[in-house]
Formats: sequence, C-alpha cells, structure tokens
Amino acid sequence: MPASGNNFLPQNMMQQQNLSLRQQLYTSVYTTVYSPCGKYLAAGNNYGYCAIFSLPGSLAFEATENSWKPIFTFKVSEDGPVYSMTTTNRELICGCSGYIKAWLWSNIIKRTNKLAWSLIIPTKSFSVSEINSMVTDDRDGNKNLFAGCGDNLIYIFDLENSSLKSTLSGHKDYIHCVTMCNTRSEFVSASEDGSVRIWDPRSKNEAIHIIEPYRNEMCARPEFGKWLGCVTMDTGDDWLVCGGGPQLSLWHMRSLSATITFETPNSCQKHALIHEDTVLSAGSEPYVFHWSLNGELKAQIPCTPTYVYKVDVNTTSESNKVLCIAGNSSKIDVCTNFNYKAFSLTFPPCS
Amino acid sequence: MAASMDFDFRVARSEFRVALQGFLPQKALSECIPHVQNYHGNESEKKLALDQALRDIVKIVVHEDHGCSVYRDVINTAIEAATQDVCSASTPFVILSDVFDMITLEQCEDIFNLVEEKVSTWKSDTFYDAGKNYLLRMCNDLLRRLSKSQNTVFCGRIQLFLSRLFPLSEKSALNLMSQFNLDNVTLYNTKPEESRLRKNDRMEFEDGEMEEANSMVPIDYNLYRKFWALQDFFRKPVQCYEKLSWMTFVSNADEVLTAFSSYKLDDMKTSRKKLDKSYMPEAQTYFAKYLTSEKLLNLQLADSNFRRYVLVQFLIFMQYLNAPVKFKNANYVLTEDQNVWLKTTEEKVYLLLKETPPDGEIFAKSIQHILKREENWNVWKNDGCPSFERNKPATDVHHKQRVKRKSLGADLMASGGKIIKMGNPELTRLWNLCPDNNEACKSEKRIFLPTLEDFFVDAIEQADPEAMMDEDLKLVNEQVFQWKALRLLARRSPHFFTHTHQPAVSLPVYLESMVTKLAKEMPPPHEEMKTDIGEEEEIKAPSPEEDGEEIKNDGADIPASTWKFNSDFLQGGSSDDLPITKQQILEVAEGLGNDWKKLAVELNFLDDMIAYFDSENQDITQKALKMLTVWFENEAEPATPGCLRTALNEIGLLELADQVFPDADGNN
Repeated sequence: MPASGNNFLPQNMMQQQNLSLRQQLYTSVYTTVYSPCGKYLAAGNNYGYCAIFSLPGSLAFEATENSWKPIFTFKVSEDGPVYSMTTTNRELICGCSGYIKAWLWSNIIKRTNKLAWSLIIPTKSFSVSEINSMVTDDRDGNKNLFAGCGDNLIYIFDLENSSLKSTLSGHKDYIHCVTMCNTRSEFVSASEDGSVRIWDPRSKNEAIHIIEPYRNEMCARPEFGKWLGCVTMDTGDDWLVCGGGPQLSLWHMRSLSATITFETPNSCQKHALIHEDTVLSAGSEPYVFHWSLNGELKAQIPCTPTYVYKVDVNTTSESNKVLCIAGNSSKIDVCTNFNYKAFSLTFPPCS
Repeated sequence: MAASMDFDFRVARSEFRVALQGFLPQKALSECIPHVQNYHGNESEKKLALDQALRDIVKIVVHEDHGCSVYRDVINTAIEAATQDVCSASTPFVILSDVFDMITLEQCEDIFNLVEEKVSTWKSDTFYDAGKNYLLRMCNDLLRRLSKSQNTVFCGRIQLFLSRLFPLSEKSALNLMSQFNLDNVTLYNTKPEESRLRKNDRMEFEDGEMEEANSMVPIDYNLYRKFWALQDFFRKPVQCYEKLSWMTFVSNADEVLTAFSSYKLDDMKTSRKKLDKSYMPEAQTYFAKYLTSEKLLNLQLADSNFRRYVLVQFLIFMQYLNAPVKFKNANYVLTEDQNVWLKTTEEKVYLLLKETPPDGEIFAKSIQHILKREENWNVWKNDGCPSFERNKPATDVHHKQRVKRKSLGADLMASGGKIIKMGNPELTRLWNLCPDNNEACKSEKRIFLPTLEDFFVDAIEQADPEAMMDEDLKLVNEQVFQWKALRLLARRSPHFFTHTHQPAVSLPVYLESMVTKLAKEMPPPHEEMKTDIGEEEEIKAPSPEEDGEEIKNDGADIPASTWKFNSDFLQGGSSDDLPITKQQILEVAEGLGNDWKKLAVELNFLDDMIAYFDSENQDITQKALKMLTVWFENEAEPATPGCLRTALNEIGLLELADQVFPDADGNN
C-alpha cells in the first residue's frame, strides 16, 4: 500500500509534470503568422514547436478554455527556437537556426506533419546563423523569400527552384527585421547596428539608402542603445516606422528625415505595424500602444506578456479580423476589438 | 314636492343637451349654466340631468371629431358647472376619462396639457376627493396605452402630473417593501443553438448574403455572455448573497470592468475636435431597454453613454448590497472579503466614470451626490416613511431661536472667573469686581445701613443717667450723629413715622426719647435706661445737604471718627482690619518724602495721575498726602493699614510702616 497519494506517482512522472509546468512558465512565442485563408494562426515558440490555432473555433459562441488551445502542434526545430515565420499562398515557412523549413497549409489543416521542403543557410564558419526575420514577395510572378539572419546577411531565395538567388551584405551586426515595400520591389531591413537599410534586390550588393536613427537627435536614446528592433512601411511606401533602442519614429521616405516620434519613455519597441491609420507597436512593456500618425497616443492596451515580440492583425479574413499579441508568455492575447484583450490562446508545453 | 313631480329626467336631459349644442359653434358652452340654473326642478335632479347631458355632448363632439379645442371647452364647462354646483363634482373627471378613452394618443397629449394646467383645480376641496381616483385610473389607463420606449416623454409627463397631484405623504405609489422589478429580464443569447437558429432564420429570408454580413466582425462571445449576465444580478441583487452566484458575479464584473478600463474612450474627444463643433450638443436619448445583440457589443463598448448606464447600474447595485434596508433578509450580510471587493470595485467604477468623456469628472460627482441622497431616502423608508409635514411645536422652536441680547456680564460669567480685559485698567477692575450684577447688588457688602442697635448702642449707654455723661459730650448733641440717626430711624424704626399730637420738639430731645424707646425694646443685658430730656442742649439740626457738602468740601475738618464710620459702612462691618485714620495717612505722607512716587506706582496709580499729583502741589508732603487721600477714597474696599503696609514694604520703607502701624503686624 502506498503511504500517500503523491508518492504513488512514479518518480519520472513527477519529473515530467514538473518539467512541463516549468516549460509552460518559460515559454516564449517569438513569432506568429496567419494562414492565407485567415482562419488559422500559427505560432512558434522557443522550444522549437509550432502550434496551430483555429480562429473561428476560438471565437465561436460556445468557445471555452478548451477551444483556446491549439488544434495541432508539431516539432519544427530539433536544436533551437522557431525565430521567424512567414507564409505563402500554400506553405507555412519557419525560420530556425541555420535552416528554413516549410509545410503545406493543406497538410497542416489535415493535421499531418509532412515537411514540404527545407533550405539550409550556407555558412562560412562553424557557427550557424539564426533566421530572425523572413518575408516573402510573390508579386510580378516572383516567388522570392528574403531572410534576415544572425550573420549580418540577407539571403534571397527563389522558392520556385529552392535556390539561393543572392546574398546582401552591408549590415555590421545581426538583423532584427526585414520588411517589404508595398508598391515597389524594394525591401527594408533593421539591424542591431542601428541602421535601417533600404535595398533594391536588382542592384545586388549595395543598399540604396541608409537611415541611422541613433544619429538623429529626435529619436536617439543612448541609454537604450542604438539597435533597431522593428521596421515597417505604410501602404503607399511614403512613410517608414522604425524603433528599438532609439525612440519609435516616423520617417519620410523621400526626404529620409524623421518627422514624428512615438514616445515610450519606459520601453523599447520590438514590433510595429501600420494598420489603417494607426501605428500599433509593442516591446519591453506589457502594453500595445496605438498611435495616430501625428504621434498622439490613442490607446495603451494592457496585455499578458511583459515583453512583446509580435503584434499582428489578421487582415485576410473579415470575420476573423483579430489582433494577436505574442511575447514572453505561453499566452497569446487575442483582441476582437483592438481596444481590450478578449481572451488568450494557450501554447501548451509539448514533448 | 310639486316641482319634482313635474321634473322629467329625459326631457331635462335632452333640453340641456340641445342648449349645450346651441352654444357649441360659438365655443361658449359655459353660457348655458344660467339656463340650467333657471330651469325648474329639484337641484339634485337637475344635476343628474346635466351630468348626463354633458356626457352626451362629449360623445357627440368626439364622434364628429371636433378637435381638441372643443373637447377643452366641454371639460372647462364641466369644471365651471361643478364649481357652481350645477353638476356633480365627479362629472369633469368622468368626461375627462371619456375623452381620453376615445381620442388618439396624439390628441391625448394635447388634452393632457389642460389636465396639467388644472392641477390646482383638481387639488381644491371641491374636486380632490371626488376626482383623485378617477384621475389616477385615467392616468394609469393612459400609461398602459403608451409604449415605454416610444412615448417616454409623455409617460414622464403623466408621472410628473401624478406626483404633483397627490400629496407628498401619499404612499400608494411607493415601493414600501423595497421589492425589485423582477419582470425586467434582459434577454440575450445564452445558448449557441439560439444564436445559430437566428442566423438560420435570417439566412432563410435573405439567402447566403446575410451569412457574410452576420460574421462580418469577430465577436467576443466570452465578454458578451459575461456582460449581459450581469444584468440579471442588477435585476435581482439578493442573488449575490449566495456564495456561488457571488463568485460568478465577481468574475463577470471584473472582466467587464477590465475591458472598460482597457478600452479607453478618450480618443472620442480628438475625433470630435476634428469634426465640426456643431456636433457637440448631443440629443438626449433614452432607451428603456438594452439592445443585446452580440453584433452591437463592439459598438456598445465604444459608446460613452452606454458605458455610463452600465457603470451607474454597478454603483446602484453595490449601494444596495451594503445599505441597511428594512425589508432585507437578516442573513443577507456581506463577508469581510466581499466588502473589500466592493470597496475597491466602487473606486474602480468611479475612476472609469471620471475617465469617460465628455465631462466625466462632473458626471461622476453628480452621480455620487445623487447616490448620497438615495441613502437619505433609504433611511426615511427604514424609519417607516415619517410624514414630511412639520408639527405645530415648530413655532416654539422659532421663538427660542430669537436672538437674545447678550450682556457683558454674561460674558464675564462665562469666562469662569478669569479676568476679562476691558481695554482700560480701571474698567477692567470695576467689571471684574463681581461679574454678576444681581449677585453684586445682593452682596452683604452692599448693606450700608447699620442696625439700630449697633448705631445707638453708645447713645443708649450715654442716655443712662447712671453713666453720668456730660450733656455736651453726648452723641445726641453731635450734628453728624443727629443727621445720621434721623435717617437711620426713618429707614429702620417703626416709631419714626408714628402719628403724634405732640408739637415738634428740638432734635436732641427727640433723639433722647427715641433712644429711650429703643433701649426699652432692646433685650437685656442692659437695664432700662432713662434720660433727662429736659437737660439736653438745644442744637439746631443741620440740613442733610449742608452736612453732606461739608464732608465733601472739607474732608480734613471731619473728625477722625467719621472715617471710621465711612470705613465701617464700606466694609459692611465684616473686616477685622482697623481702618486707616487720617492721622496715619498724614504720618505716612510725611514719612514718604521723595519716595511718594514709588508708593504711587505701587498703589496702581497711572503715570498721568502721578504727574497730576506732582503738578498740583509744591510741597512733597502735600503731594504724597493728596495721592494717599485719592487712593484712600478710590480704593474703597482694601484700604486697610495692611494694604498700605504691604505697599510700603514693597518699596523698602518697612520702618515707616512699622512706625505708623505698630499694631498691624498681627493682622497681616
């Protein structure tokens, strides 16, 4: 007879429980992406797992705690976190340490873990470079993937034949964020070295413009460093928003000058996006800030993670148009109305 | 009774009706009242006929749809007829309810103006008792016809009218038992089937197009459910005293308030600024019920008015939970934890109200004030709704409140014996002698009249032949004694004003006889004394005035014994101290020399007085003497050798003191 109920559990089961509890506690979600149909949300965490959530299910009338759990979880990376994610019309693409993996959405929806393809970042040294940010460009018949990596380089892959088209160098430190221009073929990157570089993929190795917010007295904040965590463009490509160590700021693209700063005295912004006429940004504070383009703080919405890595609006499906907030928590906050947190999706520990 | 036999009800009724109808086109129905008065027949029967005729007229005019002004005229006529006692008092009300029953709501609103105007008429003695029930019934009928959400203004008018009509103490409309309106259920979609069913219903009507529109925006059903579930707690607050429902309530309320506090509405202001200012004056909107469609939730969250409604509901609800209400079950008490939650939540709600534009601060303050007043009503209800009319004793209170003129003495008494400064040292001294004037007058010290025995004791002894007193030395021959004796006798002796046949005798003779009389009346140990009346010397009695002036003018000539008397009077004979004699004062004055000024200071003379003494005389002794005399006269009460001795001692002239008052040591 066992002395007590607790002792009845085998040692390794207890450990398992503890471990998964701790895992849950230490889960960070670095990246999220919506499926092209807008009905699913994919999230990648620091244990290398990817979880798929159903948005209609979690928004349903009869939704409960259970419907806020993933419908499907699978392992992406054996040796590190999932750093970045992006999507094409067909595939979910995950960036890990040194390699890129892709799954077909059609398979994912069927809940089958069937790898579509993978790419390896060519390394010159023994170290592997993590892929911090990815963006796809499928305009003009192209099917390009831009990956900003930890080795200060940006790789451009052609997804048609899975070949490396070119490598762009110029950044002096690792790259945080890569984003596409909406109307032109140019793309933009932000790096730890404090510069935003605007590239034209056709003109090969040279950045066409460089912005250095840490040198601008309006946005420089030496106490937070010069690194830039985020960069984003408005729909007309007239304005660029970037921030990090320096104050989040709005830059006029033609004159390449800072016009407005969005002041967050206590935090650095890690992610920013322009949604309609609002700039949404979040970073090292448990808030999502809503700014009007003239720099006025419209709202400051409390959220669960204390450090936010990703804020994303589902624009492809009107009925699932939600705002998801991911960060250093296993909870991914969902806002139906962007002004308050409606509920949280849970990324459970996986093993 | 012959007249009444002649009276035919039907004839009268139709005749009256015809008469009324005749006046109808000129809108002067009241003209027919004299006609009715002149009509033959019994008063009460005529009344009945007119009542009926008026109702007939109403039927006719409404049927022919004459319009509001005619209805008005009919009603006014009925009122006038009733005031002149031509028809019964209830007729105007019967007609009113007839009219209201038959006309459209639009016309009702017009006619109701008349009802409102006539409130004072309805409240008059003639109509109140006869009509109050009719009016109440009429108003309730009207309210039943009106829509609570469409005709809010008219409903409000009717309610206001009723509250004006009935006295404040009328309790018929009062929710005495503090019951809740449990019928006020807020319906919302609680079951998924329900909402799906609705969707399907609509889809049937409008095809698939609707489906997309239906699912246009993502809906936070979680909040939706929790939000509308709160309404049920607001409807029936006693649910919260059950543990389980309390927990549900707390979680729901927390969620809703968190959503509110996250979803700040301050961006409204900026967007409004961008828009035209003309948008500012918002029309007052009122909805009796919430619209609970899930699709409205996002809009409702963004609506500051809506938010206010809900937050105020919270406040009212929370006030009830803690308020002592008479009809609340005794075990409906909150625990400590619940109270803490209530308190923090209340603060949160007020904060949210303050944050809610426009003018959140003012709004929150007003709500707080209104709820404070609500507490008073609650207390009033708990006390069994006491009448608001004040009772008669109120007038007494009014009398008491009349301002009393304060006397300075009262101030002094109130100060409890502490000296009150009057600004002038002399005034201060005088006022502080005895604060209570009455007491001061009754004081023993104020009795200056010596008793007969005391005053005449020496004279009686002298009158005794055995004393062998020299006639000249007898007191009775002394002018001052004579004067004083006469005055004292006038006040004290019963023999003074006796009727006598004897011719007037000389004063000493008279006094001798009086003294003998007194001696007889006085009890032993003294034996009877006899006086030789004839031997008394004749001395003209000086007039009291002369004598008084003599004393005033030339104090120095008065024998020392006078001082004694003076002093005796002043001291009321109670002091053991020997009085200061003129001689002693002279001695002191001589002894002082240049030190007289010091003594003056010691005796509380002011500088200007000292300067006056200084200037008055050349000789130092004279100055000192003047000073001492003034002191002696002013310082009526404590003018004893002791005082002077102490004063001398203070200025270091102890030898002089000992020399002048060798025997005063013992006393002080």
